[in-house]
Amino acid sequence: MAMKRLRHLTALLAVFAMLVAACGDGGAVSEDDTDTTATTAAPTDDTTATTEPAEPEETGGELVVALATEPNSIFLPNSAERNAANVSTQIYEGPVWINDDNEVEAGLATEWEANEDATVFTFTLREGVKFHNGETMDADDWIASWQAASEDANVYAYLYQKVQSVVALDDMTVEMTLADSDALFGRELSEWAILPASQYETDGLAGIEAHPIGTGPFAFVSWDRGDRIVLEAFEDYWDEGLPLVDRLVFRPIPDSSTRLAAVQTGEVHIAQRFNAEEAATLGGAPNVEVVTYPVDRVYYIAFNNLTTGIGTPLESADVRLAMNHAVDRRAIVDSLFDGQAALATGLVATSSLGFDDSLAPYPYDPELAVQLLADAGYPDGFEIGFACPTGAYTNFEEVCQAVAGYLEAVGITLDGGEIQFMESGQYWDLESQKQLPPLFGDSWSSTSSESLERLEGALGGEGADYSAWTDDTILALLSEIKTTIDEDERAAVYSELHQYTYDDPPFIYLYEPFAFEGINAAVQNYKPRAAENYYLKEVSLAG
Amino acid sequence: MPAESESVEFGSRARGVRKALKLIVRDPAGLVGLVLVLALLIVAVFAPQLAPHDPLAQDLTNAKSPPAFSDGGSWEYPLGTDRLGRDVLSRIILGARVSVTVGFFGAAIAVALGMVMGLIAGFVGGRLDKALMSLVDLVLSIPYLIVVIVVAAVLGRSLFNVVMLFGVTASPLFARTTRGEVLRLREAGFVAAARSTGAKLPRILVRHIFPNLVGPLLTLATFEMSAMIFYEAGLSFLGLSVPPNIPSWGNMLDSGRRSLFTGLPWLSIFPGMAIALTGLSMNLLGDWLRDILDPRIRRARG
Amino acid sequence: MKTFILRRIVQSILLFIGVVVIVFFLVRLSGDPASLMMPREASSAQVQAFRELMGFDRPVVVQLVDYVGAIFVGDFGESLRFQTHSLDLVIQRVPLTFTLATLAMGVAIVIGIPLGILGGMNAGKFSDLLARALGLGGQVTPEFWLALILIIVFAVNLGWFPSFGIDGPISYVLPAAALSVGAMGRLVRLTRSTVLEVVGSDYVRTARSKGLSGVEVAGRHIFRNTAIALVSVISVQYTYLLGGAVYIESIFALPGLGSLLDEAIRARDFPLVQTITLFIAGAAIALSLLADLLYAWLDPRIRLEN
Repeated sequence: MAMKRLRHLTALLAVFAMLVAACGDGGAVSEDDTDTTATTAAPTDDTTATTEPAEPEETGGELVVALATEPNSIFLPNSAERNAANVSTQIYEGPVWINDDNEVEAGLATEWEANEDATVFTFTLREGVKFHNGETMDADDWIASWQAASEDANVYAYLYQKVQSVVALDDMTVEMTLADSDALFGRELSEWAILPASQYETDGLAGIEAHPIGTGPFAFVSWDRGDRIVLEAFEDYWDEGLPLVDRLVFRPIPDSSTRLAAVQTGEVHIAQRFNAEEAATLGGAPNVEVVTYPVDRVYYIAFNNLTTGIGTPLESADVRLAMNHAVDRRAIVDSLFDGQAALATGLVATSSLGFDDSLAPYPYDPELAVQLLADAGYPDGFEIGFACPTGAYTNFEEVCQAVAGYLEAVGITLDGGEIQFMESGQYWDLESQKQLPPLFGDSWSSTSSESLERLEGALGGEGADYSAWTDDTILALLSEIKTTIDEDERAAVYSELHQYTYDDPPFIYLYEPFAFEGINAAVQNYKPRAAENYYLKEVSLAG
Repeated sequence: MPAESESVEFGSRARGVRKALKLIVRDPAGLVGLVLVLALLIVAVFAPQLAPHDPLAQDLTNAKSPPAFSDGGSWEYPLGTDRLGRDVLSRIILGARVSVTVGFFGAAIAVALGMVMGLIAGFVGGRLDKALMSLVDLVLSIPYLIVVIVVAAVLGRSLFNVVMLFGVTASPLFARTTRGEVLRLREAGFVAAARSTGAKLPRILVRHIFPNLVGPLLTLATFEMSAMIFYEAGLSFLGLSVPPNIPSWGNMLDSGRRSLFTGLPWLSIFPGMAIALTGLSMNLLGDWLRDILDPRIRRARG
Repeated sequence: MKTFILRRIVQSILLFIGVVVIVFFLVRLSGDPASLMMPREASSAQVQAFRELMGFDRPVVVQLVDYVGAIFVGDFGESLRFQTHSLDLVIQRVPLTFTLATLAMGVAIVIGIPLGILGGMNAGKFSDLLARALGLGGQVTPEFWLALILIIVFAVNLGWFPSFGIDGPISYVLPAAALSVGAMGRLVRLTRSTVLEVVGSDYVRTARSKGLSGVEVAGRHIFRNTAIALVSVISVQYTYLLGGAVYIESIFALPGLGSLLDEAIRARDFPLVQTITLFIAGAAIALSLLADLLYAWLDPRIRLEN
């Protein structure tokens, strides 16, 4: 009888082990699959013309897109993050549109011009544009859109509040006056949402949130919170012949393993935010294609010279260069991201205006690092504080641990003996008060394909909340960028800044990750963007 | 529940031990549980000596190698390595410390706190009893997991927070049990009898109350320890437990979760097995303890 | 009986108020939600404006009194993230979570109790070992791990069930199965040990020695006593299920209270966190009240004592 009990225990463990083994075999994918099956779709070498859709075999059908989180709002000025914006950009449009080649194109405005110091912008509205409720767009709607978006309750209200006034010069001409000169305003307009003045007047923001009405290719049908958002094709869309699917359904699936399963079974057509390993698994699935693209986001370890970093060895440029040479970025990327990331050389991202591609990533050279440290007066290294957010970015906790390991190898040890990990909410609070330790890890993305937002945010010195670094040359270059209207000239200033921050780095530059998405083979013409936003009007479903 | 009145006094402990030994022979499952739990304790205490490699040593060139019995694996890293090249076996061994700390100290706090509350409530009675028990009911009425999740999110990630949190939120159970025992003994007249022989409170506590408390509390503590280890894993799943640089089984489960079906299953399977095995052994031990320490069950099995 | 019922109801209401106060303070210790909600590029002036709009700059006591008062008129505050009344959001999600928990409880009861009784009545034999093994197995399997396994096996490989979301009754199968395992394990073991105790008790031994068959004894005495114990156990288990639903709903992307709580916590949307917690606690209190009333009905001694 005693033996029986023991036997039954072992049986239980055996069943457990069998389950374990079953999963092990089912999920094992050889690492070779990574290179051969991933299809890269970088925006710049896309050969299909973007203004005319490829001839679809069939139009219609229902396209199902998985979101990584439930949107907080699908009114674009209040859509707090990318998932939310991806839904609302199907409903709303702005004066301009950024095409797949990163150029500004006409949207709801057909022409526009700016005055010399980029403070007054005049727009000619497109004729014959209809809203989802049947009304025709005119200048009054633009004024109302600006007013609705500027309300403080909206997360992105500040983007609209920088405009001092919006005036209708006539029915189809609008003049916007900015409080300050802003050369990038033209690009930012791509994220504006034009809505009908009548809706704002009658129903206010609450009505807009409950039932968004825009000019975009898809009209709002319903939103069952946590379950699905349903949009349907707008028949009177101004861009004739589009969109190419009948219905668009967005379903939030927070767990990435579940998203992986859903795209494999065909329950969703498009799923985003996978990591390199998951992408490799998808590569093996018969009806799924993996789309890879570099995201406009730079990860880095920041240095502080404004508050907690004063008086630390970080003040020496040699020390900071040493730290950049001490970290083996290639190894980190290979190990944690399957090699699927670009090594960063600055805060100007690879896909951004003015990226200087002559600057190579700092070579991994721990001996040089030790030498530089000795030159700077720290032959035995030093101790410094290092913090990192948790729950914020894929694998970032492990990245920080890797970086700490490399720093330790050249004699730079951590204050307190370990990295201070903090939950992201608390972390960003402290960051905005400039109270994080002298070394802290973070990342910054940009949605306008220019790095100004990111550069100002991280290098804006005293005036920028999240900045821990101040340097007069950098601040001067940043002002210059903001007032240079000509794109080529602006690109040159970005390059100058890129070079300057490469020679005297305010960060340990890490990587720009690739994003991975799983796309069902039936989806045609899907082109993702570095800024992680979708434009789905030209997408169709075959068969 | 049959309302037998029985009290265990000091003198009968020796008889209890002999009976316990008999029961060991009859219930090897319990013995297995005991051995495994002791093994766990030893592993936790001597983790640095037992781990074949430094659990925190990264070696990115060695990353993601599979366990020894799959191809590509080697016996140098018997359970494989993780994404930073750290030895999984060593991390599991070190992770035992977190689990044992959470389980043992969490349960200890719960027992201590709960026992004090229960003793006060049971002995003093009246308004204090009502107040304490209302507090207990209050805490017990919010689902345990919800409280744990919310407070963990609020307090932030640290081992200390987790241990305190588990200890405090589990104490009501022990308070209830203690109070129940005290009331039972009072009702059965043992306390009054002892008092009538002139015994003072401390003596009553030691001779009469504690011996009767040990059984139920120890049993409950064993089960609660197992539950706490599971809850720690659950909290890690939500990103609310100890920070990632401290290896814990829950942490490892969580960071390996995305790799479960994408080619690196060993990152989460082995910590999962460690948790399950620990839970198994603690439950077996708890069962066995209940069998030998709870007089009613003992009688039932004759 | 009437006074008993009345007293328990009043007790429950007081308990709920206590929970409201506790929850309010629990959540107030968190970081500043204003800076989390606003995008990084927003200036501190904008964050401050947001903070004032939401009333976080007022003294804590004022906020508390305001809050408790508001609850009594049914105003549970507005969710920061979704900017709608948080009670509406919660109520929308309630049916799914309760359906899921009830289904899981049902599975646990239907499998667990008979198994436990079988084991208890045949102590030491094979069926008892089976019961013990299954009970233990159920208890030590982490639910979220099991959920992922179920998805990969039954949804992806076999294609029998959807891998996520609610698309009809079939979508409940895998989530309910994963959620029920822990409760089933506990029920098996608790039923078994209760049955063991009762079987060994004087009453039953006497009955048996008088020649009554096992089944008769089971029918009359064991069942009734077991039922009494199980009523309170089941109500406690149900509240555990509500907690476990947080994981299961997140993994299966089910729009229930559990996944809403998970999101609300990540977003530090504490009006919503409070409302969800209060709702679940309220449900737990109501359940325990029901259980007590049922208990009293089943066991006259309790009624008479009170």
